[in-house]
Amino acid sequence: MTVDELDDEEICKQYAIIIDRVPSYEDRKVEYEDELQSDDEIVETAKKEVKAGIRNGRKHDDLLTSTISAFLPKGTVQQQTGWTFRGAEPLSEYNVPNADAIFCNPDRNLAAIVECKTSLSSPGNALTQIYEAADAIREYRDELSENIGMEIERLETAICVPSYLDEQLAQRIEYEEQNDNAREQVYVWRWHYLEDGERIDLFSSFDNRTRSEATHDSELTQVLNSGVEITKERQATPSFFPSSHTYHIMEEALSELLKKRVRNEEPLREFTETELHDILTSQRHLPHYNSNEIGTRIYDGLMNRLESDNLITAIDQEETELTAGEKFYRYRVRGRSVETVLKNLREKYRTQAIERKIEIKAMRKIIEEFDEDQSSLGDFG
Amino acid sequence: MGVFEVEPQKFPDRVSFNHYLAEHYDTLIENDLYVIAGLTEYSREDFLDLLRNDGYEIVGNYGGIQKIRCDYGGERPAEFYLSYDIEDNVVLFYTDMRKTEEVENTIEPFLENKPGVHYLYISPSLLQDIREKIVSEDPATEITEFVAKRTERTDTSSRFRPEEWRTINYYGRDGLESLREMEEHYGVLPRIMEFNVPGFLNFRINHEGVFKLKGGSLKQLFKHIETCIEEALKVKMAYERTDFEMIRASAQLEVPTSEPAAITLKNKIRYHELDGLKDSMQDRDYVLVGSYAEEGSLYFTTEVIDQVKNSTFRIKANEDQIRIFPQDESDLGTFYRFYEFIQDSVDESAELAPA
Repeated sequence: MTVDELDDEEICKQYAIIIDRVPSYEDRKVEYEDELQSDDEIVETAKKEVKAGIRNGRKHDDLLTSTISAFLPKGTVQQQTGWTFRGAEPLSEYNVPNADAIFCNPDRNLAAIVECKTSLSSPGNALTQIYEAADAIREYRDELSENIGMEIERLETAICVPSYLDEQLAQRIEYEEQNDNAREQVYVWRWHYLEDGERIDLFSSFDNRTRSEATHDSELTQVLNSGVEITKERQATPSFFPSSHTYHIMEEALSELLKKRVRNEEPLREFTETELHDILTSQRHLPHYNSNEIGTRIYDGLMNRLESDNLITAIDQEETELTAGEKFYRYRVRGRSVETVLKNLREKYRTQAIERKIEIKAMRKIIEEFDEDQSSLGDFG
Repeated sequence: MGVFEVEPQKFPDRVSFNHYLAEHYDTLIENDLYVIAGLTEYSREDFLDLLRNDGYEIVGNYGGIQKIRCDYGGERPAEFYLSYDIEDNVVLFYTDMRKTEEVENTIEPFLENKPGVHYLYISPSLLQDIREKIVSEDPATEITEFVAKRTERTDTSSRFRPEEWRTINYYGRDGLESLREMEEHYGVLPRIMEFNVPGFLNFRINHEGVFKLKGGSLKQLFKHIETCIEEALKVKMAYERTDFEMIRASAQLEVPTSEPAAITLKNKIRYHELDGLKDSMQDRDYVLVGSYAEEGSLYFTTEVIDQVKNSTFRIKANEDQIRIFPQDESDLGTFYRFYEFIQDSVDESAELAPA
């Protein structure tokens, strides 16, 4: 695998290994960072990447929310077919590949996992993801059954995309099926956003599939063929999902805290770990059947990020009027209103994210340099 | 000296109290009479508790009508008669004390800022309808004073400089003609109007549900108030169809869900206007969280914190419609405030979509 193919997490790991072996590379990394920071083009690119990451995360969560809305408990689809939403990112508590949502028909022990994709830069990856998620469901069938409250006898898989991506996805599915690489029969759900509203339906115009192969082997076919209207119906309103963008989770959770502060006339700029933990583990915000465990994980990740980015600081209990909790924090941004505190938190988060992007670029250079140094040493050998 | 004195008797509801006041107005009330209208989602008892918690005390009981007092720190306590309608949750406060002192320091901010209550918003188009109705019934009607506004980023047509926002405060006997002309030429919409129907009725009305009788038929003024209540109740009905509910999906999962209300726009929102819309919202004390928009068939969604009512809701909009999803505890005042904002700053012809 080349350095370019490594993701940010892998880059950090590789870099840590190098520094452990040759600490002098750390100074070199700082030099690279300074160099990159002074290059306007690179800084501008990092800004765009951060902005796009946040936007794409939001877009994905929005598509997932709409998909869930089509299958709400007590909603039209459940009443007509028995199919309903049973959880976002099933099995995320096991750290195994998972789809974005699971929909079930408990009367017939049927389940469908759905992956939402707002872009298809690599349609093959989308398919690999859903294949792996299906494998994990089969492997953890008993555990999942317990959590969703029903046995799973048959599992179907689907990818939901904005309608303009339907053919691109279908072509990739056909390609994999023709080359015997398809590990699942993946259906294509389309999210339409038209002047008259939102709708989810089924794409069935595959060249290589018969009509019955292109549609679900269940009551889903009928409702999805005619399309599920979302606009005028009751909708799901979760705040975030297990793998939502940290920026998104921060915004939602901290705005909730700030609002609570104003309502209770408490110090705006302070909070306790208990309050934040309560928000992040609540199904009011996180629609996961094991919201306690997943929310705690989200809490750890968010706090880690907020502290490392210097967005908050721990304070002693004597420094605050707050009492409920053991650990107390204060925002490290200016502002005396919900609006300004949030605005400054967002700005500082983005600034730190840009710096992190540049730091990762510098780490990549170190890894490349290290590899080159190693191979030239090898040449001498 | 406090509010005018009512003879000790029982009034079952606002209709009987209004009837009594209309009959005895000349002998009971020496000053201008103010009727301040509002709506609430609280029950009668909860509403009275809300008032008590805000520093009001009940100093007189007249059956369905209460006399209330609030010592707000002025030179004398503010006093009102309160009618609470059990059927439609409409509240009316009656007083002949001063608008700029006792009223503006007590009931007005109470109705504006408290969650669960709101002033009886009267839209510019309803103000225009009332005006035309009064004039058609008596062509001698004069408007002697008005305030009309053109808000920033409104789509209301304007012959001259539509990009400018403006407020016109006008005094003069030809106010009726001037207001019509200014609506056409300067794209302003009425907020306050003072009518003089010679020999019959002299009153003032503002968009925040405050009516002032300066002279003439109180009975006729109550008719106009009832018209405004009727319109406001349509908004309340739309609000009552909305709700937030955690719905059980399985033994281990509940899902947050919301039933929306929709506002239909006659002037479409375009993608390039979204920044302006967001700015307008911020100007009106709304904080936007997690906004996301797409071009094409416009798609805009955001969570909104109402800093005045300290509540939250979510909106989803396309070019023609804005849907409002209550979050957690839904709030009547929040809903009215946002509806007023849309009519004020986005599209004065916006209407609630039928269920």
